[in-house]
Amino acid sequence: MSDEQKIKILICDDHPIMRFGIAAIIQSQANMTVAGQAGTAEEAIRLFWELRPDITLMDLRLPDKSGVDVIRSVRRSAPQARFIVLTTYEGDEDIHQALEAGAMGYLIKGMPHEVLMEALRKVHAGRNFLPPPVARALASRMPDGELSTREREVLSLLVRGKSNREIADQLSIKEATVKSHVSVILMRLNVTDRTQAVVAALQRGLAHL
Amino acid sequence: MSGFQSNRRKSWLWCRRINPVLFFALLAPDPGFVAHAGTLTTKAAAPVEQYTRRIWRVQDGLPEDTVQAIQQSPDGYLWIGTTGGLVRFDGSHFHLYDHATTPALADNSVFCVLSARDGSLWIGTDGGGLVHFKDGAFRAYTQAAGLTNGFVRSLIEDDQGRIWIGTDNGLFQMNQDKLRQVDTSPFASAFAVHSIVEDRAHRIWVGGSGLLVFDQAGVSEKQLPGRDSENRVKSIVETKDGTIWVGTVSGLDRLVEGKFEPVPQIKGTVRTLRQTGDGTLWIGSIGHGLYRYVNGGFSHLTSADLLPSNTILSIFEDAEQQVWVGTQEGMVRLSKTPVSVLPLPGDSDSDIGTISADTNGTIWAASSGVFVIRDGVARPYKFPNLPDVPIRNVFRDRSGDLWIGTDGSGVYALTHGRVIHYTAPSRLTNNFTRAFLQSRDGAMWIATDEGVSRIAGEDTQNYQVRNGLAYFSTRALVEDKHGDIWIGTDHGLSHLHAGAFVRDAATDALAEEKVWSILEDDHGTLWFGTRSHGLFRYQDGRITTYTTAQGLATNSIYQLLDNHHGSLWLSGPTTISSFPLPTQEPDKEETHLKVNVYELPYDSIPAQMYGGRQPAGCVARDGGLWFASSRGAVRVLPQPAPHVAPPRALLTGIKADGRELPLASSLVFPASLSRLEISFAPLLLRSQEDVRFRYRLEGFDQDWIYAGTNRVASYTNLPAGKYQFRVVAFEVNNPAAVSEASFGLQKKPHFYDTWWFVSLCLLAAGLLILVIYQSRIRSLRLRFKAVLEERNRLAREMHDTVIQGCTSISALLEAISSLRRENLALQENLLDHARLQVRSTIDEARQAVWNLRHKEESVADLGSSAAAIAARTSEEFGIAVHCTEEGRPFSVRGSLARELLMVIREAVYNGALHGHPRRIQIKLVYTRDELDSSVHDDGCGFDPTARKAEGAQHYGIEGMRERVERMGGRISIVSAPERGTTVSFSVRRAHLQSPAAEDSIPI
Repeated sequence: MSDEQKIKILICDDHPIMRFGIAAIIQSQANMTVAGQAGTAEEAIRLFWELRPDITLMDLRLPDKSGVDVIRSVRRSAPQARFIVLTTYEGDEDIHQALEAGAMGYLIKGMPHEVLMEALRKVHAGRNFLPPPVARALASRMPDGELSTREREVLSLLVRGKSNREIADQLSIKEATVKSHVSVILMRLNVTDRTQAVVAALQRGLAHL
Repeated sequence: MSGFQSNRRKSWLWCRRINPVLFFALLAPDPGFVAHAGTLTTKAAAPVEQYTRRIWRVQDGLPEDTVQAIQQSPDGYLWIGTTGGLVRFDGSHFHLYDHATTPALADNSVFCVLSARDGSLWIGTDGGGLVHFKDGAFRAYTQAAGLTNGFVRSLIEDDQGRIWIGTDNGLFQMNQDKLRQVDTSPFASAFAVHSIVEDRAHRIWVGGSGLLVFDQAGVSEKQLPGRDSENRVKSIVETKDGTIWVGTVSGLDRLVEGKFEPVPQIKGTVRTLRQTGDGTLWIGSIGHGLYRYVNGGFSHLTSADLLPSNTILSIFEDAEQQVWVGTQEGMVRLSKTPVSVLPLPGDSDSDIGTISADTNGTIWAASSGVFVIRDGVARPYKFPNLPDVPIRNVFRDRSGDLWIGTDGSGVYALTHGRVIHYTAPSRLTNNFTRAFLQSRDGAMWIATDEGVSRIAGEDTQNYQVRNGLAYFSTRALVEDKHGDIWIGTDHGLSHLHAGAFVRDAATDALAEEKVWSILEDDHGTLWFGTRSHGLFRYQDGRITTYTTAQGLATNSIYQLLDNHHGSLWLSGPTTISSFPLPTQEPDKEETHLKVNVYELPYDSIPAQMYGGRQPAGCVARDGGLWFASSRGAVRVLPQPAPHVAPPRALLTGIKADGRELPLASSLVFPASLSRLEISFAPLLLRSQEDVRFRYRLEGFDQDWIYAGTNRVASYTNLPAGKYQFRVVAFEVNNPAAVSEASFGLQKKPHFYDTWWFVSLCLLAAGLLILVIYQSRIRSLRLRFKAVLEERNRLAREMHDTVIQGCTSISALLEAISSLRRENLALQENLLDHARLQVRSTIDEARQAVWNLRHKEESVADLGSSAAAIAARTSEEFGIAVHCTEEGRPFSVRGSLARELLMVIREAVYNGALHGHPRRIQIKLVYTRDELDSSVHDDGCGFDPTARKAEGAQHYGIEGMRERVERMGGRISIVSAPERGTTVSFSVRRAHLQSPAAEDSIPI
């Protein structure tokens, strides 16, 4: 099989050994080839346009930007681009965000290589791929748990242990406004205090450390 | 008889100067003083009037002994003019106004006082002019005001409200505050006035240098009988019968049928004249004592018996008909009393044992001899046919027989001219009689100090201890309405019912008492008087006890009498008293008795009442009560109590923490007040002995506090607040008639008790709670933040090390497993990477754990950590790994140090794994701006320009590059085959130390 016929795959992960392992798996497949490897979001976007891969394996955690941002950015100009998220995050919000950005598959790192192959094949065939744990997590997501952008910002600072005042200072809003955001967040996450909110937010991928 | 009486009087009408309280009788006029022969009535043979007397002198509070004027103001105070100043008297305390306290009193000697109808007081002084005391202020009228003479001798207010002022030189009139001199020049060039009187016809009599009468027609001079030198007028009075009496330096003249006649009985200068409400004219002389003119007869009292001095300067009768006499040696109060004492003539000590009332109205008094008292006269009596034996009791039975109890000779019965002698042991228990009783069956009961005998005709029944009598020494006998006999003994009470002794509540209650008197009152209630423990009331099986606590004059009761006018009378060792009999079962709340005490004379040698033998008192047919005493027969003629006002309660002093404060209707005390003493007193010109008080501090005391005779209320540690102190005065015999005084007081709160302070405290406490709450919240937040940070850091560490590492290894292993067998080289390579990655992951996890155990952001010692890597690698691979430092090491933030160490470790491991070197050199160079690090190995090296696709093994270089670039540093790798490899990288010092560097590391 010539390289042209092989499925061209771009690997985007900030960890070199991860990339090395994934690349070795892909290279072992006769009908797949690693078109390139990127360690940052910027590099990923650059390489995407340069290499035009069939599928991009995308880590969500990158040194510069989020993998979701890369997906969104690329798909704005190339709606047909196919992304499979390969990450350690398994929160429903992460999945939701990634899928909403246009990812067609969502894989949790540490899965058997057969799952990766299946995902690559299915996505390449134009189908979505969500392994059962991911589908379950997504299903658990409450539809009205939607947070506004501002609430998400507040939550991310909350998760970092910032006080209302600090959040207010950082977001240049009034402390009272922060309070009302926090109460909305608590309500949306169906929790009673900030600690629970942080735990829930991290579990569900609403915020990351 | 009157002569006898007169002689007797000396023996019992006596006087002691040291003790002011005395008792005397103003007896029948002495024959020598009878003004008009034949006017003396026989009635005068009995004691006419009895007075108690009290004297006040300097030692009792008067400023000086010489009392020149006495007046009572409408508010009840007595105003006393002395040579030492003006005194206000409330019945016990003297309040002095003299020149020192009242400058308006230019001279302390107050000669006359007038209580005007407007309530003000006019004061004439001896040289200091006239002083007006009105509404608490004194105003002096002297020469400047027109009073040309400062010696004011007489003051009156006439019916038109004008004040007449008589001085040593001239008569003056004050009208509407205008002072003018009344012209007396036609009668004398310098007319000295000593007395002014307005008669019922509103004529003004002015006596002094002469006697002038001012009437509507003008002024005229009256002629007095004696020589001119004898006619200087000192005093004038008009008695109720219209007679004008004029006292002069030589005696007394009386205006009879338009002509003045001398009164020969009166000697000496008549200084003062006063007629009291009972019609008695009191005549005070200089040096000759006091005369009384009553019922047309004169009597004379001198210092030998009544008065402290024979120089009488003033006489006044107060609103309660007490006569006050001012003398040169003090002031005397004379108060009428219904008690009189009839001495027993010829009796050496008048020591009466018993006194009994005969059915014919005669009173028998048994003393050393027997006396019979008829019409107020006591005479010795000798029973015919009776041997000369000491007689103890005389008793008339209903059949008219007389029973005579003797002292050791048994009992004689005098019946129809016969004498029957009853003696022990056949007919009496003992020959010393104590009491007689005739029961309604006609039997005689005779108590002795061995028991009781019942004698009915020839039958005698003895009741003694062996028969069940409570005690051998018997004292009192009474038959009650049921015919039961009650026997009082010296140790208990016996109750004889149908001839047998029975026990009941009364005998139980009185089992230990000396029962000296028993009485059944008109309601059938039994009363037991005891020798030591008061009075017991027995009704319907219930015993009630009365003692001094309930108002009794004494707990020692000798005799109980009922005069059938609703009062119970009691005699005690020194007192006679009475109280109204309660008509029904006494209410627990009203156990206080309305006791009237009739004081007895001779309290310096107290008149001992007698008790223990019956009867020690009796009720005469006329309702008078007679008691046996050591001074004679004491007689009380009960009179309807005069309507008297209750004593006026006065607040006399307020002491705050020992400091005397001026009296005011309301007082405010500081918070520091700890002890408050309020003293009070009665305003009562009568004897104050029976005055009692109760008081209440409203706002503090729940109820009235009975103070008794105590005149101070003290309070300590009152809480802050507003109070009203009320004190009520009353007399024991009339507790319903009260008067009250009160004042308001306020104690300020301590500042810590004020509302504002409490508010402040509450506020402060609130603030404190808020602060504590907020600090707690903050600390919770901080803790939350710390926990969160720790948790986050842990998660991050886990992610960065274990998960990252494991997922990478997983990926490598998955890759190996995905490879076909033939690609052995790649498999080996992948395995190498996996091994390295496992090692690295362990290392990182260990480092993370190390970080957990230490402060996260602790400044890491880069050098020693690098040396540790060197040592470990050296041990693992058997290669010499050295670590050197150059320059002055600076601190690097922990998280960045870890990144640096990871790069170093990567380089060392890479070299060790792939280069197979003999030695590796780690170098850390600290410069001013940068940290330059390098790892050099002397291994096989590689070609950095080789294609990446095949040189996937160079991933480690990529990793190092990424890490360094993330820290903003530069990295270079120099290598060539067989030439070894050098990895060098530099990071700016500012970057390594700036906290911002942390933020730049994405999470």
